[in-house]
Amino acid sequence: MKPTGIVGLGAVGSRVARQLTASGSHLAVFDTDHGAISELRSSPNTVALIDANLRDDMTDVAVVATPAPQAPIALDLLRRGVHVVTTTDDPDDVHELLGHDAEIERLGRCLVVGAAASPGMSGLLVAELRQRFDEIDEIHAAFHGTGGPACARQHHRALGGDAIGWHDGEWIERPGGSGRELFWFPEPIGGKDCYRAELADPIVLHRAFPTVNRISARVSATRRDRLTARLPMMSPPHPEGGLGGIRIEVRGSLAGARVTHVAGIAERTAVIAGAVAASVADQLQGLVSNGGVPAGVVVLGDGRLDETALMTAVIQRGIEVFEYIGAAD
Amino acid sequence: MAALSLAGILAGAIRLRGRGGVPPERGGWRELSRPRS
Repeated sequence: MKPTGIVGLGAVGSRVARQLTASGSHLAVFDTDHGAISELRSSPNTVALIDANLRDDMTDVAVVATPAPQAPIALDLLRRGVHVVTTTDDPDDVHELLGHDAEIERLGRCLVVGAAASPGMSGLLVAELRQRFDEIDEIHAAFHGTGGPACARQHHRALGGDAIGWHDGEWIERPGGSGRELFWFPEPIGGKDCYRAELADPIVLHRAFPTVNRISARVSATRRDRLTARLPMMSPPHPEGGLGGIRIEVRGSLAGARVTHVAGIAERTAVIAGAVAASVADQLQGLVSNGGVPAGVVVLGDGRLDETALMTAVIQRGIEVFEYIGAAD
Repeated sequence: MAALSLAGILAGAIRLRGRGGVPPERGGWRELSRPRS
């Protein structure tokens, strides 16, 4: 088996590398930053490349964990015959990648779009909760915290942009920073005021669950975040991000009754993203060996990968997943 | 200019106002239960 490629060793990429080396995978990592790559160079399982291209004969599966846009790198790798896992959370980047479905299917390659925390883990949580319903008709996602600096900049832009949501069969646009709701995340995060924002999750979740009538996504923000959302960032983002959270609420019906289920995670966003991307890359490597890689664009939740196995793998990589019990349905 | 400034301040105040929501009075988080495979 060829090593798994990783392009970009920022907060997320380095977590993917750590997760994969911890589970015994061989890696070929590429970054232009000498400092980021020096730690991995010493690993006997790692081929480290600086200022050089990840060659197509080196790997069958590559994780792209660079700042957005990831589409040019991902499409280049796909056209050279590599299956690609992207970690992008940028709505424009996600749109661009989803638009190449026909070409990627023709190439016989697989592109997993948004295998990170949000999107990514959000789709896995919905797929997990989906099993408790006859039918689901609403998905409401909320996020707290950011991964690395690129993710923090994306979060800042998102609050100042136009938030999209899927509402009764059509896309709606609302101003970012509006629509406050108090959501309860797993401890120690607790209650956070969350607002609409320009997020990729509704796009990805609608692709995965096209029959759902309403999909919304919000992020937590402070008054200062909202006040300065349309200005340049006042202070440089933290290199590793802080504790992050995901809260997914799914509504639907079971045996004719209305039912709501809520699942959540409290963990560093880059750690969640790293565990998800590493688990997806591992599963694709296994499918390469069996010849069962799905061709075309895949999003987590659409059922084209084994999502039960992915959730198990993510939990085994140390991500604790919770459900909210006892609230009125 | 003064009118525009006043409008900006009022818009900012409206955007940031409010006292938040109500925390849940019962229930809590527990580890996700999953069907046995």
